[in-house]
Amino acid sequence: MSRIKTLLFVLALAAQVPLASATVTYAVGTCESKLPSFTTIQSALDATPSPNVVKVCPGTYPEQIKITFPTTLEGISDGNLTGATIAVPSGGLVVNFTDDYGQSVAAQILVQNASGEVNLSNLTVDGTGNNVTGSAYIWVVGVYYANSSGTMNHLTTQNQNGNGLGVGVRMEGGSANPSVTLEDSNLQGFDDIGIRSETNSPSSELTATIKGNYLTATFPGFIANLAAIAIEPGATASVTGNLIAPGFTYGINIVDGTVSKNTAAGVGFRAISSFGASVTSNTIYNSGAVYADPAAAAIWVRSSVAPVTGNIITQSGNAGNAIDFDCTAGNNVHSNTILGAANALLNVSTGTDPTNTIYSVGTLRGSQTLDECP
Amino acid sequence: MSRIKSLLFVLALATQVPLASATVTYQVGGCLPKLTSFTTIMGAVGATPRPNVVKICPGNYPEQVVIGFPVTLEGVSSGNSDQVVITVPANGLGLFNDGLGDFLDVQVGVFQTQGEVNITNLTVDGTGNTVASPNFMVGVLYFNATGTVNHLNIVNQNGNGLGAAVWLMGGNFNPSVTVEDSNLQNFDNSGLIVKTDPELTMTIKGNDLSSTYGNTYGINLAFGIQLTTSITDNLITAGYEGILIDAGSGSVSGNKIVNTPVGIDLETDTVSVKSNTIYNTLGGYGIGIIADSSIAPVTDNTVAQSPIGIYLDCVAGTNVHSNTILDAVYALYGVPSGALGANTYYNVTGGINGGGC
Repeated sequence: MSRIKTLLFVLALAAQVPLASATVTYAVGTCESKLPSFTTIQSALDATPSPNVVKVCPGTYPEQIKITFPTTLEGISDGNLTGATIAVPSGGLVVNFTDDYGQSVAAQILVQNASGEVNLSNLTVDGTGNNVTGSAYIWVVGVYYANSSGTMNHLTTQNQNGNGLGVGVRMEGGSANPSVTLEDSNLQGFDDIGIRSETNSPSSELTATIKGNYLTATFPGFIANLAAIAIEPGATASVTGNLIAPGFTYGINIVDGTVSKNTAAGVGFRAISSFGASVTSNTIYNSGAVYADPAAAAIWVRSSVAPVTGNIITQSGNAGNAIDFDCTAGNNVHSNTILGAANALLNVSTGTDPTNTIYSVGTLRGSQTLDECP
Repeated sequence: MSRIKSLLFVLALATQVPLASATVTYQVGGCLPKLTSFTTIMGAVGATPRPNVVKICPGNYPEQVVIGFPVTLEGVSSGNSDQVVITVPANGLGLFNDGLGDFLDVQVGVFQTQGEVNITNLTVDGTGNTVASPNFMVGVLYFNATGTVNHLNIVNQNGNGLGAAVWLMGGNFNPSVTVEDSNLQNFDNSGLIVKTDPELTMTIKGNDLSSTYGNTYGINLAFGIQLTTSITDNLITAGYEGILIDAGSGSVSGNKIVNTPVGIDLETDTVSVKSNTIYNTLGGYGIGIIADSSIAPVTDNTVAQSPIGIYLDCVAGTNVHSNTILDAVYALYGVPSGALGANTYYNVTGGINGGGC
């Protein structure tokens, strides 16, 4: 082929590359002078052509954001500053979504029915001043993924509170069977649940990966039923390597999936509650520190099948139960190490003899009368 | 060799095995009827011949335990119980002068011993002590003695602001002490404190430390020119400073420190601080890591939710690198002029700040 023919061939190929494959990148704020810039995040998202990437300069952006197409939203640095904060608009949050249980939601970032991945990183989502109070049953949510896939990393969600229905991050499945990852993020100041995953469906329609996050209950007083992570029916989750600071009533509640290598300290009632998820190699310290409740336990298991192994449970507090078998679990709970508890094993299923390593506890196997085991 | 000759030969060999090499095992409490039994731990420790192993049955033992020879002290289970608790005796605790200006009232003391003293599966409870200042109230002391402490529950060494769960000192035997997989709780001064002029090698790993008292240290390397230390994979919750490093050489790595106003305070050039996680140093002036050294490596740590990620104290520079700071007002504070190491920052509103340097 002559050189001219080769050149023409290459040009012809290039002409077939669709324009849509080019990456469209916008900026919000004034720190990226070479990019088309917008003053609000939503205006950048709504611009034509739709952006593949929106870079958000440090600053405070008082707006509720809705994303319905695949894109990446990332906070960027300007000099030494890296903080892009999405704050509550003046007047407070408004309801912008109805969840799959028919309940109202005021979400600060709503990702809904996106056909591809929506990724968020390096942002603070602050619910201060949300003005959602009183008797209205409205969820206040920092970031809500509804029937959409994507990854969130290095986010800070804080202060989703005020009416007892504050959630840092919520993931809802759906017909697209989305996969959502939340990693290396900090969640604080919510007054109900840090991370909630669910689908109102008889089968799982969501795959959630929750890893390497930090969760803290920042309220000076006690909040009943405050939970760090709740994986409800209709979701399958991998919950790994998270750090749960003292102050929660519940640490991790999960129906289906795996819970491994998490650290939970000072959880008031139950650090891990499993209805069927495997629970392995977690470290639980000083659980039951708040409640003197005979039903409190570091790990509560309602499954005779799911492996509960290799966990280290140290100093189960006032009530002092390390593992509650709920009259259901048995030999699937083994190879755990327990140091310091009133009861090491509670309500062990009749006819089983689980093998665990136990140090310095009042009783190796507690009474089976608490939950009236058969 | 005929059978008779073989038998005689074996018998002759057997008679040459010294009697001292046999393991002497006693029990305390009566749950192991095949062993010689004592009612107190010190009764067994002080018996002749000296025990190699003392097995302690579940129960409360209000006594001061003093050990001066190699032995293993271990709690055992009996029936449905597995809780051996050493409590404070009614007549109080004896006093020990460490030669460094400190007076210690000790619940379990291991003194001047060549050979290992190992202690496992016990609770040492300081409840009810009447130790008054300036004396320290100490759960377990190793002074110029080698051994391993594991799966101990050392609690409630408090009352006068000078309570310490574990106290370690070196000596001319160049001792090596390991404290592992134990719970140190509700001390009102330090979870583990080290003061040593002579040599000491210590390994502190996999322990949990917490206190409801605010002005406390989790691990306090207070004094020790010849201290070699490895502090790994401990979980420290609450108190004032998680780990204070005023002395020694070695490494602090893989620890998790939560809810302390200061996570790690590095005040020496000879200890590296690597791959630790520090979370929620609370409001006000919370600091993830104080790096008061321009030499000691401070690398690969993660500090999340702290007003100040790493405080360089106008001293540290390129030795602080590859750390991740998430959610801070200042990622670095007290930054001196000159080169800095590269770190990764997320959600930092104030960037880095000279802080008056």
